Amino acid sequence: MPKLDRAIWEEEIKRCTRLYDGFKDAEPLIRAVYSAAEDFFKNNPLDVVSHFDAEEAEKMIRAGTTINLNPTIDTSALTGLLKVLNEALLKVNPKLKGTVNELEQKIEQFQNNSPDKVSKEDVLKLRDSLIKETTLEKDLATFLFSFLLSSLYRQQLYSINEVLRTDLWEGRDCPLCGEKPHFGYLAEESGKKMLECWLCGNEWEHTRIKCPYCDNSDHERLGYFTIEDNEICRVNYCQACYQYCKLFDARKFNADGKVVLAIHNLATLGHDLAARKEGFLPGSNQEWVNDNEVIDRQD
Amino acid sequence: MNLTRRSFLKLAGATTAAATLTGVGLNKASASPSEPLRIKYTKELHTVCTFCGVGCGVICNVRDGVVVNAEGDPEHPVNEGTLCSKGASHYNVSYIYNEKGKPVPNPNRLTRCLYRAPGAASYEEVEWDWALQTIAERIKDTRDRTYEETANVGGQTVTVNRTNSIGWLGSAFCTDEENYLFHKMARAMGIINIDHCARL
Repeated sequence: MPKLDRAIWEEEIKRCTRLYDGFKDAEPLIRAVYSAAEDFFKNNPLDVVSHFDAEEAEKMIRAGTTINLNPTIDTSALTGLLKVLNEALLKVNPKLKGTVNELEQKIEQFQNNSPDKVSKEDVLKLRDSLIKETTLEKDLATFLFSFLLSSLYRQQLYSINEVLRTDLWEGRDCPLCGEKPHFGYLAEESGKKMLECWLCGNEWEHTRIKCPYCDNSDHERLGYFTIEDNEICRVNYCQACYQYCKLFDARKFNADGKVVLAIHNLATLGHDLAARKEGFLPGSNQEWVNDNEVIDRQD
Repeated sequence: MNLTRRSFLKLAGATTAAATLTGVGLNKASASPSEPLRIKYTKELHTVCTFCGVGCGVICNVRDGVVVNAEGDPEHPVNEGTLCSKGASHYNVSYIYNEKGKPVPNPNRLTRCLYRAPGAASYEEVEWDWALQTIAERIKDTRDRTYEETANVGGQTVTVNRTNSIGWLGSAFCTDEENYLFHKMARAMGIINIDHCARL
């Protein structure tokens, strides 16, 4: 998972605009947040995690044990990045001023009440409190915080990918940070199913016809659905645990090199909505759909 | 009623509406909300290529009981996701493409039992029971008429117990066990001209 440079995500935005109807409307947002993050990290570089015992990690991977590397997060980097992302939101839609003001107050409170370093769980608690106490809806909160956390994680962990033996991993969760995947892809040459961690960007191979959440491999209760005539994004579901994961058919991408699946995920949130309406929950626990989008409200 | 900050703001019609992804250009709903989305459910099934004894792994995509795609199984140790031209054309057993590039049922796919009588110019549809009975009778008849117990080999009479009038072909579509039984049956009838489609 190399650090993303502008050329890579710009190319991905163009690709997604070609592949998915309606993604053009999201271009200003995607460009704004990626630019904001890039500028932030240029001016505020983070320490890369360097204490990594590759041999010990390999032993753990061979034994089927996830390494569970979850670095602590610098609180000022977290709040600083959140502020610039808020500004990016405001640039895209000035009508969000009220929400952005609320968020900035809460972020300042969090910074004042937190130690210098916080954990991922602390950040997720912040997210949940913002959903409860402000007008920030679940889907936008998921976008902000998944982008925030994954940017911070990738900045700190990107060098580990070069030595991590994910080819030896046979588990379902991310072997590096232990997070559950939300999306993956069918590899261009082989059609192998590769899962990608939304948090740290790590990739690993997973059995093609098997649930990545409950290990069900009964093909009668596994399958996928596609929407309209778009056969690129598949919503892979399991009728044992009723969870879903999105798979992108990279054989149809015509891509040379690195693909930014996170942008493809954003371009296909309609699939997440459809999955919820069909009765499936996200196996990653990433809530991209608001409750009122699934239920017909009578009030 | 429990009044949360969120519901107070909504009730008061405050200028701060709920901030969602739609407000920043990430729409989830379809462009025509009144029309339901066309959702197509597909199953993936592991199977084995039917064409030869190598037995490459195939993943078939099946939609509404119809194969819509067949591709190599990347996890199969034999082929690791690749397929030869025959295996890759599994889909075309059932469907071919018309002049517009749309898949249509393959008209050459056999779905009924057809019989061409000796000397006839065309096929007629027959019942399976009649066909199997007739095949058995004709094999038996040909074998009985042409069976030779002995033959003159180099001036000597030797026991041969054979018929030279029947050719017997095994099939890669069948399993090893089935081919073994077919071979045994042929030899038991005295058939000696035996081969397999893999050699053709």
